[in-house]
Parts: sequence; structure tokens; C-alpha cells
Amino acid sequence: MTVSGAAGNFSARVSSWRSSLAVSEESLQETVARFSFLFLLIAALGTLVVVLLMVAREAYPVLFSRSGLWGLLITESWEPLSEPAQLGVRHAWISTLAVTTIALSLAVPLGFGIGIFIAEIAPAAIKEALQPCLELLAGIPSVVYGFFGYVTLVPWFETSFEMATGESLLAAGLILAVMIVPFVASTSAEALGAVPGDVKEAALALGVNRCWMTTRVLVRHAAPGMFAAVALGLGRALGETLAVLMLAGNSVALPASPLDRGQPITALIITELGEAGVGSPKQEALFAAALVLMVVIVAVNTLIGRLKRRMLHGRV
Amino acid sequence: MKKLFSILLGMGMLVGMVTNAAAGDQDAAIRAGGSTTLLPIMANCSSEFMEKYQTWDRVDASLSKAATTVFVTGGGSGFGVKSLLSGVIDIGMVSRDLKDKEKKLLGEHQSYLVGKDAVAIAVNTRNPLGARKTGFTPAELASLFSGELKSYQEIDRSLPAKPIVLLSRDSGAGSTEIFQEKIMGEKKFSPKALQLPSQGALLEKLQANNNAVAYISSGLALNSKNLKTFALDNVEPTDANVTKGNYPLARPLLMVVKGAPAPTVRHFVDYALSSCQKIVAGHGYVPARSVN
Amino acid sequence: MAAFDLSLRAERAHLWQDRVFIAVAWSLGLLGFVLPVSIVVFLFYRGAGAISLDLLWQSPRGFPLGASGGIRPAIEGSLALVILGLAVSLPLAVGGAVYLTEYSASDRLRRAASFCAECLAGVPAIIYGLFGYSFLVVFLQMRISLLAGGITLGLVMLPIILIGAYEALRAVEEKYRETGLALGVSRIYVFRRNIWPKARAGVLAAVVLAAGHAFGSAAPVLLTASVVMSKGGLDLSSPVMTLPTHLYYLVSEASSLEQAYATALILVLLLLAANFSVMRSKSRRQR
Repeated sequence: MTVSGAAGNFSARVSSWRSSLAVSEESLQETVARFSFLFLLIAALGTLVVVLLMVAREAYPVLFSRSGLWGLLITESWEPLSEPAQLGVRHAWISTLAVTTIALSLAVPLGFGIGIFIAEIAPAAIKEALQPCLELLAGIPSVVYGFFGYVTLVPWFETSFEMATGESLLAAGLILAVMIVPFVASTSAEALGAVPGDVKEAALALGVNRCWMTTRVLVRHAAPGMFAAVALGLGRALGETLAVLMLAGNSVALPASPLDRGQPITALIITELGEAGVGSPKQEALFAAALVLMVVIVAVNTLIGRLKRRMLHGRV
Repeated sequence: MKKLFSILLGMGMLVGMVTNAAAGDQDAAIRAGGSTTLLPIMANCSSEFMEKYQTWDRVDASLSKAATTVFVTGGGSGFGVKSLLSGVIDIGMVSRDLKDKEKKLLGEHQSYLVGKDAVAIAVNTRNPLGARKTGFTPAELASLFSGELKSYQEIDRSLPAKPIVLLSRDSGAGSTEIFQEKIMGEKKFSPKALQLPSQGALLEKLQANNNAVAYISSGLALNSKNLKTFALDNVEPTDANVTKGNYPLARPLLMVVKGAPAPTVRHFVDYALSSCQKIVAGHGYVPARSVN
Repeated sequence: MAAFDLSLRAERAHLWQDRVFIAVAWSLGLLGFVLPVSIVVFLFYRGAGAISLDLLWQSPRGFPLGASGGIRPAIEGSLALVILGLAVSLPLAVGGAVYLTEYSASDRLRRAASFCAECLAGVPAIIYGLFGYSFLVVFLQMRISLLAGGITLGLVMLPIILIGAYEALRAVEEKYRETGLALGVSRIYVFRRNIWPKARAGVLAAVVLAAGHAFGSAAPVLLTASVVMSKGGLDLSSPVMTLPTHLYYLVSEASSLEQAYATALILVLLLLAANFSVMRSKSRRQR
């Protein structure tokens, strides 16, 4: 079959899709363009999927190792130098959980508050000034936040709480909260702004004050978007590396309190990767920890996607 | 979009071409990495080397005209050996003896002694422990660093009941491996010990915290005016004792090369073993060859 | 009478509740303004003193190395990494987005692709660094080099640019495409002359966002491209210093706090400048 014959076949199918429009027969140039862009799309998404598959491939021997997934996550501690080497990451995911909880418990109220302020209360000029400020907050790199915490929070903790060292899960959590506030704030502002005006006016017409209208009516209507804001903050907090590396204390012990030191999964990976020999059980354990983190983040992102769609299509 | 893409591609190619021409072929660059004890020494040494000899043909007329380039990075002795094994670096900086397992994995290799150091137990001068005790035995140290002793009062009843803060390097460090092998033996390090990413950070933390005790490079400890070191089995970690081999926790500072060293690597190692010895001494370590 | 009193009291209570609510909201909004500004001001206050032309132009010097001299290799390295990463990711991301909006007729494909891209944008940068180290640096023996780091950064930026370009292209109304096609013009022509000029600004904003994110990220380059000390002079097969990793090394080696402040300030100012210029061009277009 000739090239033009193939192109003709193809464009016949194309025109049957768009029967309402008078579409010209696709020229060769069009076909080439179409396939080049398709190729680029496949290359783009394919590369990324390949990356994830390779991580999974390195990680999956852990399932069949001496201790298996249960050992990795629950029973074993991280002692690579002992004989036999213990390669459990329970201290890591507990640290991640702790730091994320601290960060969310501070950033969510603050972020919601700022979001409500932007959506409901701020005059237009203030809104214009606040937007770039939040973008600035979101744009400061993780390592600068870690440095900032290192020179402010850590010495302050050491003097006021008489701690041996100020590096702690609390310090990391506080800085992480500052890092995720802009995401929570702007997403919740967007969600609140998407609520149709007549809902607000109906409430006000019934005589309730602004506080009631906002907290009882508006937020309830914007609930999916607000949850999406929280999930977004959660996703960012889970993946942060440098800030927690510099602030959480890098300790392989199981943390017992927020003032203890810990080592979130991301910090564990970046600390130990260089010394993990290629193909060694240590490397497999690190990949497995990475995979666990990725699975959680993908789950969170799926949730965000679903919530955002509910927010946009609304409940009328 | 096509225009943007072609601009970027052009820029990329330009960057690549211009700098490739300047830097020469890949073989001209030497990568060194590993021990954070050796890091400041090697960084100064390589900087001096690159300034003194701008191109390789000035080092040795048989080499190319490419610019001398040496890259130095840290990561710990463990990282140095592993990277050497995986071919990522040319010179591994190791601040301990190579283990038998490592020697077997490396196969044919060369170890060059750059200097000598030791692992010393230290506190800062404001820590009352310094006034009370002058030395430890290995058994005392093992129980201290395994976390069995929680407060200073348990070491000596006249000391205040302050919590003992243990500082250490992370598991890949040369000093950690030596300490584990020669002192801790079967016992494990206390999980509550704070792991610092480098000797420099360890020094700073120790100097700042009055309740901390650490095992640290003796070169750093002796160079600092704010630290007090302890004797081990009645042997002080002085330069003399380290050189004579009396101090049990002495360690070599090595540059390790896998296989036969390339001429460029060979020349750089020679430079490190001769002109850089004064840098070794300047940082507080015992040079391998005496300084002229 | 009592009922009247009660309702009056209730009304006053509501009024006060509203006032408190608004006051709290204002103070939170103020916090949202104060936080970023105070961080930048703090860095400026501590770091501006150390910034000089020397710092920006020279290589590291001094005893120990890095205590004096400059951080020029770090600035060069960061720029080179981002440019290389863009060279890798830009065609893939923009091309892919173009296919999704211009050529793909299947809504399911669009939703699947954008879901995929959003998940991948959420994957932490360290995971891409993990891949970069084990596959590019060790397995492909690229060693720690500008090339390995650039590709890794490209992977980090790819989903961000893809989503941003997709949104920017999608924002262009369908009618432009339909009228063009109805007139018998080919898709690529409609795209080039009608769609792209309208979407260009949005795509550029996404690119700058991704590039800024990559410029400041240390995690993916720490093990793929970065070394503590390098003389300068860029080469695809050689490692580089970068601004964020330089800051990290300064803190972890505890060398020079002053240089650390200066590095942090330079990093933040460069990113601010990039974002600012994008905002300026965006507002100019809106006018």
C-alpha cells in the first residue's frame, strides 16, 4: 500500500469521527506532524513509567528476602553493619509520618485561614499583593528552608528547651509546615472561589453573619476542594528531602516523641544510597522504601485528582 | 515551539562544544571522593595542583595539552570504596585500613599513604568530664557509646546529673568502622547517638555542646583550642604516639586506586605525597613523609 | 420584652463573632505576607554583606578551601544543569501536550495521560535521583557528570512542563481550532498561527516554574552530578558544583556560615528574578 493510500485510509477514519465538520483530507504533512507529536507523548510518559518500573524492579527482591515486606516495614531496625545486616525501615516511615503529621496540623489551619481570607475577606489590592507572596513562599528551595531552620530553629530549640541538639522531628515539622502553607492556601482559596455566588447570597439573605456563612455554608460546599488542598500539602510533605535531612537529626533510632531525632524515608535514601553497593541488599532495601513512599504518594495524588474533579463539577 | 526548541538545542550544543574544547577529553579529569577527613586536605591539594600546573603537559611532557582537572567530593570512606568499586571515581579517599573483603573485591589496587590520623575521644573544654577523667579503657568506652550509661553521674558521682549526648559519624565513615571494630566489638552503638554527616560538622557540634562526648579525628581535636582529648589505655593521642604506633586507634589516610593508575592519576598522587604534605600538617594531621 | 432583649443580644453576639472572625482572617492573611518576606529579609540581612563581585566571579579559594574566593563554578553548574534538563524535557513535554490537545480525539486518553502526568509530578525528586544514580551513573557508567545530572533534572521537570503546557493549550478556546479546520486549513497550520501564540505565555510560565524548581533542587543532583569542589569549566562528562548542593555542603561540613548565607541569598534572589520577569510579562499581556 502506498504512503498516500495509507494516508487516505487514515483520513477517511478521521473524517468519520468528525462528521459535523467539513475536514479536509489529511495531507502527508499533517500525518507526519500527528505522529511526531504522538511519538513525543509516548516518549515523555514512557520514560517516566520506565523510571518507576526500574525502581520497582530493584525493590522487589526484598519481598523474597529473609525478612520480606513485613520485616522491612515492621520488625527490623536499620543496622547495616551488624552480622547479619538488619535492613528494616520502620524508623523511617514512622519519622515520615511524624514529621508530616506535625506539618499538616500546623499548615492546614493556617492555610485554610489564608484561603478564606483570600477568597472572602481580602480586598482586591491585598489579594494582588498576597498572591506573589505565596508564590515566593512556594518557590524557595528545600535546601534554603533547611538552612533557615538550621540557623534559626535549631539554636533556639537548644537554648530554650535545653535539648542536646535542636535537630528534631519537631523542627523539621515546623519548617515543613511553612513549606506547604502556600499550597494549602492557594488550593483552598481556589475551592472557595469556585462556589457559586447564589449559595453565598442565599445564606446572607437569610440573615446569617459572614462567619457563619463562610464556615458553615461555604466550606461545606467547597469541601472536596478543601480536602484536595490538604492532600496536596500531604503529598508535598511526604516527598521533601533536603529540609528534613538537615533538620530531623538523621538518627536510626525509633523516635518516641516529637523532640526526638528521626530519619524520614527521603533522608534515609539520600544518606545511605552512596554507600549501598550496586545490587546489594542495602540498595534493594532503599529502593523498597522508595517504592513504598511512591505508592503512598500516588494514592494521595489519585485522591487529589478525584476531589478536584468533584470540586469543579460541583454539587448543585 | 520549533524556534524555542532549536534555540535551546543550539545553546546546548554551544555550551557543550565550547567547554569540551576547553576541558579536553574525559581521561584528563581525575575524580577523588570518600573520607570527609581527607576532604579538606585533598580539596586544598587539588586546587594547588591545578593552579601550579595549568595543563597536563606541564606536569609531564608526554601527556596531553588538556587542562588539569581534579574533582573532589566527600561522602565517607564507605562511599569512597563503593564508588571506586563501581567505577564512578578514580581515587578513593579512605581514612581506615581496607577490609579484607574490600581488598578482594578491588582485586589489583594501589594504596598510597597520605598521612596518619587517629580516632580520639573528646569533649569540649566546658564539659566537666574533662576535669574529672584523663583517660578511658576500651571497656569503659564500649559501655559509654553503647548507651548503657545515661547520665554523667553514672561515670563519676561527683559530676552533675546531666544526660550524656553521644556524637558520632554515620555508618559509612572510616572513624566509625575503626571504633566499632576495635572498641565496641560485639556491642552496638547507641541508637540515640547523633550521626553527623562529616568530621567538620562533628567538630562544630562538639565545640558547641557542653554535654557531648564524641569520637573524632585526633587531627581536628588537637588543632582546636576548645576540645580536650582523653587517653586510651593510658596512651595520649598525640602526633608522636600516632607516628610510633603506640595509640591503638591510629588510622592511615589513604588514596586508593583500582588497577594500575593512569599517568595523570600517578602524577597527582606523587604531588599529594610530596608537595601536599605541608597541607596535611597544616590541617593538623601527621604527614606520611616529613615536611621539608 | 424578654424575647426582644434576647434577639438583640443574639444580634450583637453575631456582630462580635463576625468581627473576631474577620480580625482572625486578617491576621492570618498578614502572616501569609510576613512569612516569606521575613525569610528573604533575614537572609538578606545576614548574607548581603558577603556578596561581592568576587563571590560571583571567582572560584573557591582559601584554607580550608571555600573559606574565601567565590562560588562561580556553582552558579555555572546550576545553569548548565537546568539548560541541559530543559533540552531533554522541553520537546517531549511540549510535544506531548500538543498531541493531547490538538490531535487526540479520545477524552479517555487525555484523562489518563493527565492523571499519569500529575502522579509523576508528585513523585519526589529524590526518587528520580535514585534512578539517576543507579541507572545513569553506575549502570551506564556516565559517572557523576553534568550529563547524568542534566538528564535526571530533565525527568524531574518533564511532568511539570507537560501539565503546564497542557493546561495552557487547553485554555485556548476550541472555537479557534474549529473555525480554522472548518475553513479547510491543516491542523498544524492552525496550531502554529492561531493556537500557539495564545498559549505561548502560559507554556513559558510553566517552563520557568519547572526550571526554577529544578534550579533550586539538590536531591536529584547530589548523587548524579555534584561534587564539593570543582575548578570550573563545563564538560558533559565532568561533575559540577551547584548552588543548592554547595549550600548543603557548607552546612554539612560546617565550613563557612557566612558563605552559606550568601549562597542561600543568591539562590533565592535568582529564583525571585526569574519568577518576577514571568509575572511582569504575564501582566503586560493581560493589559
